[in-house]
Amino acid sequence: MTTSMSNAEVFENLRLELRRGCLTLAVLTQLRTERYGYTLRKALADEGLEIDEGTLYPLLRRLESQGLLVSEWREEEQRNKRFYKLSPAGKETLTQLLAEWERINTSLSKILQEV
Amino acid sequence: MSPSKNPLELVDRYLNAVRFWLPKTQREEDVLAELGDDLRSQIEAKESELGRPITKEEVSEILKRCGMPMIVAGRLAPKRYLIGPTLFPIYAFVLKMVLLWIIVPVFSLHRGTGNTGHASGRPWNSDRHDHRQSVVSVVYRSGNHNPCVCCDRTNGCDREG
Repeated sequence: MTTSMSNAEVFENLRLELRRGCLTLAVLTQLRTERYGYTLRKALADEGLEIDEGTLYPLLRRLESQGLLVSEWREEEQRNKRFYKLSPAGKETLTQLLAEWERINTSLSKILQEV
Repeated sequence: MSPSKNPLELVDRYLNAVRFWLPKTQREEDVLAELGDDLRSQIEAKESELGRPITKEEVSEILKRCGMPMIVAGRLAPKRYLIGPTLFPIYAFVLKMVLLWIIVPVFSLHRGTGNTGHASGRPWNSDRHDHRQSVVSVVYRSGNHNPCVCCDRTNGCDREG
């Protein structure tokens, strides 16, 4: 059943895995201020973190169902838009996640320097 | 493709194509409205960047980048699995057992058709068939224990009728 994957496929899988957690962190951080989907995507892309529609919206929905985000539909520029922002629980979780990220980053930097 | 046609019509057609592949719930309408707003915002951003109304070709480029409707719907819809990873081992085990319990008897019955006399050549119901036959013969025999009205014998009367 498992066929041997090409190197490119292995890399792509690992890259997505590495990216997944980072994207969550980036999205949560950005949503400390309220935004809607498109402006969130744009803000991330402006910082060099491209995220397509098919990735961002399922992620937002997941984070909302986990209680980390709250959303509401509101009219802006004559169109209905869904605005997201961190919930109180989301703020707490983000603080913990950022601390964890700091720890990982520090350790990894040390490890990478040894190479 | 007349130039007078509204290029935004393409967006509606695209969204309808995505809707076709989504489960029909309120939640999915939200998903669709959100995707629609994103695409229209992209178009507006492109227009203000170009300083002129967008053409059909440019809209179609944005939609192509977004991806095939079926694939986009697959990503937007909640993930559905027939068997989750937790249950998979037990599922595989039960499947193996069931296949073993069905295939082995069916094959042995099928191959032994000549010996049993009434294996029907339809292996999938021969078990039930055999069972029914034995029930019928037990009932028949027990019925036969009643003494005959004419001669009091329990194991068959000499007279006919």
